[in-house]
Amino acid sequence: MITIKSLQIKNYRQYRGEHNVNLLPSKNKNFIILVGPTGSGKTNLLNAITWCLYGIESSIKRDDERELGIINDKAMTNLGKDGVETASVKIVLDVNGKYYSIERKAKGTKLAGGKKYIRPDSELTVMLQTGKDIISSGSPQFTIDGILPLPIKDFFFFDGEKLDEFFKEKGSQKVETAIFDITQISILDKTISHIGGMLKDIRKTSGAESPNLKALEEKISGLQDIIGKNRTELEKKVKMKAQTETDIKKISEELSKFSTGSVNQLEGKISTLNELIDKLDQQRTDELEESENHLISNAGFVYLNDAIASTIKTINSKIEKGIIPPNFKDTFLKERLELGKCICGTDISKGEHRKAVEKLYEETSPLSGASQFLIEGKVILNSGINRKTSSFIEERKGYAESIKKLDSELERHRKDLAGAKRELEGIDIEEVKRKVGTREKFESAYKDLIAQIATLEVYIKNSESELRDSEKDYDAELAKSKRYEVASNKIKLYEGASNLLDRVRIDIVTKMRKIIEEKTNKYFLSLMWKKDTFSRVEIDETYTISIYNTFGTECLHALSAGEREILALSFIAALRDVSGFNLPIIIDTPLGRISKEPKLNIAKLLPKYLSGIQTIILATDQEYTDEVRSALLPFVSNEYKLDYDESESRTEVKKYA
Amino acid sequence: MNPNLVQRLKNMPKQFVEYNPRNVNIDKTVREKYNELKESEHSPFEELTEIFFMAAIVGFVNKKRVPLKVRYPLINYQTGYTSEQKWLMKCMVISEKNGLEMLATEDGQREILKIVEEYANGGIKLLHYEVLGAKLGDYTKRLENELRSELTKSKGSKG
Repeated sequence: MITIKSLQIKNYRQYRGEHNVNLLPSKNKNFIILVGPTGSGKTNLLNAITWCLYGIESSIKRDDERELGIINDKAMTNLGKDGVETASVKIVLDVNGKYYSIERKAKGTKLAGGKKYIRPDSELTVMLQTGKDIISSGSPQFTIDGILPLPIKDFFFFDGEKLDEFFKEKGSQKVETAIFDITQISILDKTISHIGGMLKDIRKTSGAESPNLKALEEKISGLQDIIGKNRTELEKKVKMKAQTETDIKKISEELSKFSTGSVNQLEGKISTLNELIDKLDQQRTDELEESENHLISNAGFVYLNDAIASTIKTINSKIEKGIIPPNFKDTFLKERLELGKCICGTDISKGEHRKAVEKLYEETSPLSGASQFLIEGKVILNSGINRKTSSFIEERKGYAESIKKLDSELERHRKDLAGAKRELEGIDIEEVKRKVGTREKFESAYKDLIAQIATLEVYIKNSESELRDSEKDYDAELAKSKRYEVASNKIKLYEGASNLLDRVRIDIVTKMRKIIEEKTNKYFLSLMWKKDTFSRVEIDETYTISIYNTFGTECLHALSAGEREILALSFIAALRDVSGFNLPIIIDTPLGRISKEPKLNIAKLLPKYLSGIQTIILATDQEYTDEVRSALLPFVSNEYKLDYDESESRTEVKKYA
Repeated sequence: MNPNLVQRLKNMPKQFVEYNPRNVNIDKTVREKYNELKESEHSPFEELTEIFFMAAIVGFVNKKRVPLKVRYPLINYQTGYTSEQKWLMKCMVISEKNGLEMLATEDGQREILKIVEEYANGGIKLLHYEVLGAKLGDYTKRLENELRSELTKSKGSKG
């Protein structure tokens, strides 16, 4: 477990002079609150921490702030000729009972002509406890990455205002990126890519000596390029599709708020009909797929009806003739003849007894050993043919009727939709006309994008299959020549490793996605104040998150900002759980975009959600209302106020009064 | 001892073994047809195992058996098929060659699968043409009509 004990800031942005903030939580009071108005330096406190740890200020919001530089501007202005000013941030941590002190410093000076110059590089020192000694780390950044890796920092230190955007758009890349970051899959990706590079090199070297291999190597390389380009194009199109979907939704939302005429009613009707058509379309696709599977799985039994009947008849005739099951299995008689001894002990190595057993063996059908297998086969075939052929026509009828019913429902709804759209187009309001026209364009572009994505996916699949075949051909060609034995073995080894890693990667990502889905679901349903509204959260294989209400309808787009924040907090908690890191949480403006009632609900939930975890909250005074404060106070160990003096451009950290 | 009996004793396994190889083979020259049938959005097939099975049926029904030139172990037999499907494959050969005895030995069972591979090799081009070729109409609709008429035919002949 890691706890931030204290933060010392000196001349960092608006924190002029030296400021010491005690952040150590007391028992059962794990919250530390820092309150200040906009511009007082809340976000820069978060920036100070990420700068100290990683040398980056992850939440710089304004360009003018970026231009001002890390060292307090007034301190730099006051600097005399040749003087040096330093900005520093020092964090003292308790890492599983051991002392760690991390300090980063940036230095600045005044150049000739009075121009301020801040050195771009900073100086990082990490002091850590080993046994009773405190030593300086030889590789400070490496030490920090070991306790808090950079890719996962966003799940521990985050901006509440940005949380709202996490799930605002469906199909956002953010969910996928977050899962990949938390599983640190990039390490595996680097290894896979490295092995791919080595394979390419070996093929190139071997190909230089054989024209056949060279041609194949070129084909493989060409295919890899095509796949890479198509993948990039696919990613682009997927993003464009998501953006177009957002644009369509935005216009629809705007139209639904239009109170003039019957615009909002018509828009509501269009939206309901669209949802219904999508649902029915999906049902139709599923039903068609099921119908095709039914057809294919029954085809064998129908086509081979005669062959099955003839086989069953043959087996039956063997049973009737007593050949199977046999009185004696030929395997048993063979064993006895080889041993020369009957089970009763009689010598059958020669003489009359042997002749009798030999005769018996001769009369036994070779099929006798397979009798159990044949009888099982007969049962399998009999039950299959009865089951599959007797009800086939009826089952086909069932599928046809079900698809016909869906088709007629779809036709009816599509007609209604076209009618509602025509009516909307007919409304003589310039803005409505413009919006409807733009939406139509987006809808047409959306359809094109779906087709383009599908085509690209097929291209990629086909090229991948051709690539696999070419690689097999290459390996076969290589194996033909003794000369290439070493290269062939190396390629086999690298291909094996690469395939294994690919499988491991899929396995890890799939498992993690499932675990994160389960945990997000659990957190969301337990944190949500509307207990009977939502039934489950799902993250599918394309990393699209969906929320279902108790009627089974997907309703992510309908979540309020507060509900979206709860979903984001649940998702982040799930990610934190699987990360295996037990770190403090810092949330900047957690309730910034939340309206009054949900604000209080979230404030009441936070201590439950972050039970036992050191939590530092940076809040505005509008967020930290009296009600919110009294909800959190039983869990607060320290409260500070960020007091910004505009004339001095300086923030003071004071005890909250 | 009768020489045939001696030979039989020599060839006979200690006990019956079901021949269950890891893969069945296709001819290398037709692998593209398999891939196309698997990947095309106009094809109802999703798995190579389904395609091989259907190709064998098509070859058997059309009495088209083509030996494999270059054997290519593409299809997983061991885990790719149910015992029901494995028995259907056996039925093709047993009924055609009156060859129930082939099941008694591993060699016989191997021969059965070799024949099934040849049926699939003969059937794959026909199947590919049926599904993705220039024929008019939807393959699954044609398949359904054909299966219905097959069933009516066999019920008629039984009746």
